[in-house]
Amino acid sequence: MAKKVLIIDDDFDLVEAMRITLEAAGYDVIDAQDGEKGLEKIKSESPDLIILDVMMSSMDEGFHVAYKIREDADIKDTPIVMLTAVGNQTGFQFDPGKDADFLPVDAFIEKPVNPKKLVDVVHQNIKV
Amino acid sequence: MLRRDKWLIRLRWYAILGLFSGVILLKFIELGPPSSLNAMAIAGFILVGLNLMYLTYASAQKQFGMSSLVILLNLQMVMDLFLLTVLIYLTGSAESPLSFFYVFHIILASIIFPGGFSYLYSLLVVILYSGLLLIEQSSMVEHICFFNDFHLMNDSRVTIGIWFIFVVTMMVSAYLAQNVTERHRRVRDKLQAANLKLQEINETKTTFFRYASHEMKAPIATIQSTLMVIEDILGTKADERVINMLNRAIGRTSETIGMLKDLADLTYGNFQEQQQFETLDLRSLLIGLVTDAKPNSDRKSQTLIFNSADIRFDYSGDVNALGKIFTNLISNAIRYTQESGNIQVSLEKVDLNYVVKVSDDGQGIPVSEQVNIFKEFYRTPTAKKMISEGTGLGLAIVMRMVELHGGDIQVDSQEGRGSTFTVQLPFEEDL
Repeated sequence: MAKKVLIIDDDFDLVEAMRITLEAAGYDVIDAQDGEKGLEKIKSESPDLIILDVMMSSMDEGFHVAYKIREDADIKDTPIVMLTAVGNQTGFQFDPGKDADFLPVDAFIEKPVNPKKLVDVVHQNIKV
Repeated sequence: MLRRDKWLIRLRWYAILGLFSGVILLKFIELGPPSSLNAMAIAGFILVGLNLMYLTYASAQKQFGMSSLVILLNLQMVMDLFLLTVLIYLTGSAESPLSFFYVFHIILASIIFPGGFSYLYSLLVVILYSGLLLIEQSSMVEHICFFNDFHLMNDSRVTIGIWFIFVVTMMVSAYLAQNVTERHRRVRDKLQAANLKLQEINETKTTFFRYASHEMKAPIATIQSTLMVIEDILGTKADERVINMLNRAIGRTSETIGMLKDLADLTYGNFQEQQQFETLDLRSLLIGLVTDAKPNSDRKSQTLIFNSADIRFDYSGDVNALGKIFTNLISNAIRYTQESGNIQVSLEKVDLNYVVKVSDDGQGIPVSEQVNIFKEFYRTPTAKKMISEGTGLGLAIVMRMVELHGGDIQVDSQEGRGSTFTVQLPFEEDL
């Protein structure tokens, strides 16, 4: 059975671009347009990996969603790949190893999203 | 200057009023020889005439220009001092307490004229007063015994008169000093208000940059992501021209994203909350950056080396900003140096500065262009010829980040022989 990836992002075109790439790589893709709907879908759909955008309705909505996922015992082990343009916005470079304490995510991928990198990152981090 | 002229004229009216009141009072209390009092009144009328003339001239100043106004102001001051000397002579020369009034003429000169004019007027006062005493001593003019041969202190009118002149001198001096301070305060307040306004404008501009670059970058990033997916799916199936077109479109979106990123970087640090100063080892930071840049220099078979003493270089700085400074300088050196060229990054401590040099043996920058390279959007013709892409914002960003650290950046370059960019970062000893 194909692994399920949930994309939480409010940019429809970007979601579609990632959906096409991931479906071509053999994944099932579902999506949610904001953090609240995303949390609902994590519980109802139990995805194997979450791709989470940082900036949605607020500049740091993605961070809050990541914390909520890690605080909920039922879903806390779901891998999170954070989709960010923050690195480019502020010159702030995230390192999942170093910044794991304050940013509980497994990997980062920067916008614009390179399809090959996306597939690699998802492949490396998805629950086996 | 015109305002000062009008102020001086207004002050002179008060002085004239004081002079006539004094003459009337002296006549009333019968102090001083009548001939002296009459001469003082004549001096008063001369002053009225002169002041009317000055006033007329001040009203027509626009026709005569600034330099003639300065000459007129000097003439007024000299005439005032001359008439004051005459009044001192008429009231007993060395006995006259009117000599106190020289004091605020000197203060006036220092307010009205720039530079060392007040010293020149002090000299003039000394010459006039000494001259008066000398010509009296040499009997060229007759001494006027204003106080009737009395021992001064035996006549209470004289004591009160001297006391009064002293009080007037003190009050007028205080008024003048206060006036100067007040003007100074007003100018300072105006400058502070203007500065605040500029800061507000700058913050508005920064906010605009920040939001505009974010708002523009997000859709362009999506467009690029979409193009990359299309390119990925089409692969080799599509017409070569379509693939080339897609690649060009991806390239152009990358360039635009790069420019928006640079524009956002230019405003970095304008908001205090963005600045994150921390103690770091400058040497480790540079070693990391040089290591990161190595694959790029290797691709051009260039030698990229780092030199410094093997010690800690503790420095309080913003890691992101310092990263941008040296990444920019090193990547510029790699980009604009020919294959197999040499690039050297060095770090040393000179007095209370850390000095970082990024040198290359590349194309160099013509002297005529060196003044422009730190300007926003400027790219030298050589740079444009070598590499077509580039926003021309890199070195402007570097300069902004160096300034954020209170440092300085200089370039030393000779065309065809390479360039050295020297960044000086001041530090505090106790770190």
